[in-house]
Order: sequence, then C-alpha cells, then structure tokens
Amino acid sequence: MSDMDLLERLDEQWSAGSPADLPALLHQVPTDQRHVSQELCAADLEWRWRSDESPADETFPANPRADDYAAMLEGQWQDIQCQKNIMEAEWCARCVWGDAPDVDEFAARLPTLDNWSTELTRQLHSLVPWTIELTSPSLKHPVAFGASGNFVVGRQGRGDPPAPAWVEKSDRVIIANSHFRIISRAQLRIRRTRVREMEMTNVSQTTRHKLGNTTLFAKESTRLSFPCSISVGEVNMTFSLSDPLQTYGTE
Amino acid sequence: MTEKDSDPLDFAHPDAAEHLWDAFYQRLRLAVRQRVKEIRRPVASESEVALSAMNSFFNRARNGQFPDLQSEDELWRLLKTIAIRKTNDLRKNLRAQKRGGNHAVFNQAELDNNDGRVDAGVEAATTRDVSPALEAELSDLMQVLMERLPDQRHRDVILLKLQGAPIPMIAEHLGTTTRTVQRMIKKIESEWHADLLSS
Repeated sequence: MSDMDLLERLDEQWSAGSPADLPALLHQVPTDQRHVSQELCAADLEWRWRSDESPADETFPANPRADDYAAMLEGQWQDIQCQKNIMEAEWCARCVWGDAPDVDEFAARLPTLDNWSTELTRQLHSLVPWTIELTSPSLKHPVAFGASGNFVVGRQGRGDPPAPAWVEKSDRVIIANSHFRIISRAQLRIRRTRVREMEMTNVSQTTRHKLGNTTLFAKESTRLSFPCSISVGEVNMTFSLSDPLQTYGTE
Repeated sequence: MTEKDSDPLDFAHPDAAEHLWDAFYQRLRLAVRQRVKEIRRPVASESEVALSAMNSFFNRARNGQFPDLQSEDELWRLLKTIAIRKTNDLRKNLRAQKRGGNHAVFNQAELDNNDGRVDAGVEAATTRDVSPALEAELSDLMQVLMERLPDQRHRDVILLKLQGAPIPMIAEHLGTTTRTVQRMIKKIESEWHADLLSS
C-alpha cells in the first residue's frame, strides 16, 4: 500500500464519522518510508481538531498536542525535524480550528530552530490569508493586496542601518510616488502574531509614529487586533482577514 | 460609401452600426497600426483599438453626443482622434505599470492633480483588460495543463484555488487535510513549472 493510500484510508475513516484506527495504519507503513508515519500522525491530529465532537480516548485527549504522538512515533520523535513536522500540524490545526496560539509562544517550544516563527507565520498566511487595503483622500479607488509573510512599510531613511540589518526579508511595501519620493518617513515592521493579531514595530531610529492617541517611539512595538488601521502619511492601511465570513480559530 | 441608401450620419437607423463598420473599420485599423507597433510591449492589436474606438464613438453618437457632424470627413476625423487617444492611453498605462513594479506605488503627480482623475499604478495594473486573443491563449494553455493532471481530484483542487477558496475550505470539500491539499498544490505547481519551462 503506498503512502498516499494510507493517508487516504485515514481520511476516509475520519470522513465516515469516527476516529481512524491510527495504530493499525501505522503498522502498515513500510520500514523504508518512516516519514509516512509522521504524515499519518499529522493528519490524525488535524482531524481531531477539526471534528465537531472531538473524541477523547485512552490514547488521545480531545484536542491533542504534538507531544501526544511521541509514543506512536517511537525513535523518530528524537529527531527534531520530526517534532517540528508534527508541531507544525498542531500549529495549523489550532490556528484554523482551535485556540489560535501566539506565534512566539509556540516557536519557543523548539528554541534551537532558527527563524521558525517566520516559517510558522508563513504557514498561517497560507491557511488564513489577510488583505491590506490602502485608501487615501486623493485615491480614486482603494487598492487591496495580500502579503504572504511579514513585511516592512517604508523606505530606508538617513541614519538607519543599511538593509538587510533591519529588514528580515526583502518584502517591503513602499508608500511613495511614481518617482519614489517618500510620502512618509515611517518605517514600520508588520509581523503577524496570531490569526487575528499583528505586531507593529517602529524600526526607524529617528522617526516617531503617531498611532491614534499614542506615539510609537523608535524600536517600540504594539499589537493590534484585526480589523485594524494604521496611517502612513496621508495613506490609510486597513488590515483584515481575506475571508471574514469564515470561522477561524479564536483566542 | 456603401451600397445601401441611407444617411451614414443617421445613427438612429437600424443599419447604422453596419454602415459605420463597412465604411471605417479597415481604415481605422490601418490608421492606428503604426502607433500600436510603436508601443514596445503591445497590450492590444490595431484591430482591438479600432474596435474599441468605434464602440466608444457609436455609443456616444447614439446618445446624441455629436449632433453637429456634417460630413463623412468630419466623422472620419473624429473616429481617428478617438482611436489615437486610445493608443496614447495604452502607452500611458503601460508606463504606469512599469513604475509600479511589485510595490504598492502611487503616482504622486496624479495624486497632486487637481482635475481629480487619479490612477494608482497598482490599480491600473489590476484593472487592465485582457485582450480577447490573450484570453483565448490563456484559456487554451489552462486546458492543456488541466488535462495533464492525474485525476479529477487534482483538478478540483486547482479550480478551487484559482477561484480563491481558502485551503481549509478546499480540504473540507475534498474530505482530506490541509497538509494533503498543500502537498497536492505544491506538486502541481512544480510539474506545471517544469512543463512550461520545457515547452
């Protein structure tokens, strides 16, 4: 039986309305395809979070964590990549159907992995995309775009350290004119931290950023819940889920 | 002008559109051909520009916007002017898209424009019309790529994705997990990429 066959069997059993017989399926995994065991556990974890009546039995709690599968994966669990694989399944399931955990708290479970929080955010974006809408009194129509990861708003100003020191990736949104004349000197790092929350950091060393009745000084951060709006010069950026009607995980 | 006995400037006549077409379409095509060719990356053919100009003119004429047209010569000059302005707009939109690139860039000159007509580079790019020829070509290409997919399940995944369905919804529709859907999409994208590079 191929790996896809085993995964399909698991899907069919769950779709039929009752938990899949995971131990029996794991028993059928060929010894040279041990990664399939991880995929079966990851899929089972997601199904348990998705089910309306998540069943608890002697093997699993109602809403399992990745660690609950450690015993079933035996020696594989010692491999950090295996832990990462199952934990990412847990992360996705909890974001979409569960309690929408905080990305930094979740990434702290594997502290030795570099940039794992960035990868987790990317996965969150792929499952629960967001939309950024730009409006301005001078703009005839709003301009909407999506971003698949964290990004920085603004252009590097005088006195700031050169990129990439202050830009995690090359993703950047520039609010400027057709000749790249800067409309605002604001430099804001936007990082998604939960399903419905983002963190905004003023990465400028010289420019304060007004946010409603408060001021974000250099290097300061604040968290905002969706939907939310920030102003960059005369342009208003509104952040919201791309599919607001869909019910996603709630904190 | 034509073999029919009717006033070519009578736009209320039931055969007015046909008369206009017979008399002017080919001339208009030839008139804009050189201008369209001069646009380095042509976004429309001379036929499309001519058709668009005639459509614009005819709709406005039927609404009574040109009551003072006295002769076919005047009509021809008006049609030619409309067509030339359309090619100029194409060139301007193309320049705006090139400035816009991948960032959300606004055209400051137009933001400052007190006439109130504002276009954003990104907006211009996102609302650009796809020519019928390009649309047909894309449709054929999509059909070929879809036929290469192994089964209907894979086709369903791609169709739903193209329609903007979120991955959890696709997973629910197929009765599988989000991981499986993402794996399928990645596999399809990789194979299509290889197909397109090899063709």
